[in-house]
Amino acid sequence: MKKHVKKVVSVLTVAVMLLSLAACGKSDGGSSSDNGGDSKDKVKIVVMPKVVGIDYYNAVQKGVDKASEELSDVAEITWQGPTEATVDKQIEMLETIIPTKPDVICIAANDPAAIQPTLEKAQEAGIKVVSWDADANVRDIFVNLVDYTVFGNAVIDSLASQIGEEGDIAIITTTFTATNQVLWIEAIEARIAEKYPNIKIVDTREAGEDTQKANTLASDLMKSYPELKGIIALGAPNLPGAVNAVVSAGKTGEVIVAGNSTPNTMKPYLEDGSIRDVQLWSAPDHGYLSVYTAYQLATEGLEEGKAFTAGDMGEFTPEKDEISMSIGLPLVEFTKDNVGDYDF
Amino acid sequence: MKKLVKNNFFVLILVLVIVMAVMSGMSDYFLTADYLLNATRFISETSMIGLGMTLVILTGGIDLSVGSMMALSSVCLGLTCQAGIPAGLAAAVSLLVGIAGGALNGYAVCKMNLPALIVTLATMGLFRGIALGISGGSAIPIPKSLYFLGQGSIGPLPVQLVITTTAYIVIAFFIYKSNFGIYLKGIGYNEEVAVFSGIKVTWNKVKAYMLSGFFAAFLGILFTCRVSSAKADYGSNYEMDAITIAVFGGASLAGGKVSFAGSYIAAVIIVLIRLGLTTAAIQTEIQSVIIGLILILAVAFNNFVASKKKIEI
Repeated sequence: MKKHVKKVVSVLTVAVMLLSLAACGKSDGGSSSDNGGDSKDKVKIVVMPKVVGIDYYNAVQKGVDKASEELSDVAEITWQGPTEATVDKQIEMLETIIPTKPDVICIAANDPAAIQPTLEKAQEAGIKVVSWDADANVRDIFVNLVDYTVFGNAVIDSLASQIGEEGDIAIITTTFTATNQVLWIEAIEARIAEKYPNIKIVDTREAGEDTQKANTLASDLMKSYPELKGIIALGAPNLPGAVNAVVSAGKTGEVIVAGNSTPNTMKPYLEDGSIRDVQLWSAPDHGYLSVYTAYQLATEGLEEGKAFTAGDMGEFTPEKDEISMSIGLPLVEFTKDNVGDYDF
Repeated sequence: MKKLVKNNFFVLILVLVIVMAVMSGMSDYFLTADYLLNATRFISETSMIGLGMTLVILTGGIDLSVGSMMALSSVCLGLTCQAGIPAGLAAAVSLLVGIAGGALNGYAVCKMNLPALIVTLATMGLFRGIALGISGGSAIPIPKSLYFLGQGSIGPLPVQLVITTTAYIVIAFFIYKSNFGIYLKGIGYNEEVAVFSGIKVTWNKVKAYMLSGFFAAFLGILFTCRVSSAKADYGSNYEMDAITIAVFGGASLAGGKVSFAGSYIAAVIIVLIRLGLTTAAIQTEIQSVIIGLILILAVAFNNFVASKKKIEI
């Protein structure tokens, strides 16, 4: 008999747990509708990252939350993503979300080809699609990272200004095939050809996304080219590796390093002066801009060449691209003075 | 009442009713025919992988390679279609790959006498590696003629639902009504006794692993047809889903005791919780915690039932 009592107790425990969960779900809904009339009139936006629970997307989520608060009277924004960065988990989540008929889905696609049919299904159901971070083949607009040319120019301009616009430089990249790397390096080469005739790229190496490997490569480069004036390290994990190599070789100030990485990683190096500035974009701004773009798309619509205001980030003008249209994030340059303002 | 509480299946149904009630309270969309019919696509997929696992667990073994086999089958389907082989034949090739992979598992476990956990852990890496290697990791589109298997309906019912339910009924019939079932139970309950009873232990166990491989490959095909492209990273962690379903459904990992109806309902419960929480916009991290807690309680609960039961043949 005792056993049976235990069984009944555990069934009840499960039931209570589920019911209390339902209660929190409901109270959440209640509080948001208190803020601004009927939740059915609000624009419903779902923002989906590649994966949840990593630093970078947590930073993006802060921007989403900020926009969500500003728009709380007129829009209902949910942040949902898979715990693994795989496309099948994203597809399953989308297929579950589509019947709830949100107005806009913002997605950072883990695989553009595999997710295409699901996004087509969403569009057929009347849902607008915004891609952000990683593009999709089917979308109304793409909220891109910083324009590749703008980004490449900023990196080489920073380096050039620190080496007196002349001398030998080397590039450490992630892989020769990654789209962003290829386009950044093309932009850097074009800028050199146009503006810096005395700068010469003597070598380009692949480090993957590996701080240790970038460190070894940077040390080797300095040995192979004793006249080397600068190193461009592209890829967030590679820049600290290259800076470290220069510091341990005692060549700070002799060999200048430039490139892209995240503020939290680079903070110590910026503060002790081993690097002057780091180029990137603001991750929270990416979330913020994506939400405002989605809101604009759902309400007044977006048109090529017609500017819209994205909250406190100012005006953006969608430009035509191969699939539909896109906008890009502004470049952010981290220095020792502003790096503390960012947390990702 | 005493008898009902003792009945594992009754308990599962009770949990299912509670889950349905709670989920419909959380989202207006949950208790609609469209939503639930669409949900059966996911439920059928998860319950199909649980079916193979349930068979292997019945023999006292385990098959960790099912998720990877699903990916391998998916990639095989994609590549053979791309090579211009007719869709039906391509699907048959994928199923054969599944059976062959299962045979490899079975051979290593039974003939070479290696622990199933280690063998299938190794083939889990092996199958995934082959899938990644031959596909290069990219998504491969499949011909539109195959979409029916993953996206079509037979009457109002999604194709997967019909296929999986049929598979469950057929397998359950064989297990409960034929010698095959008695052999597997005997092996799972006590392998030595089974040997001395004249049961062909090796061949029957290998058959269970081959069926597991077959169902994993079948799922690979259905899944690929639903999402319209083949890819090597499908099915990660599905082996855990499969084990969860079997155990939640009333299987004993020691072997000799499983419940096919239990596995089926367990899949319904777990998938409905997951989908319902997503629809109600509960964060994925919190979902994992909730599902984990429910499972611990449910399995602990099953143990009370299991501990007192004798084998039934």
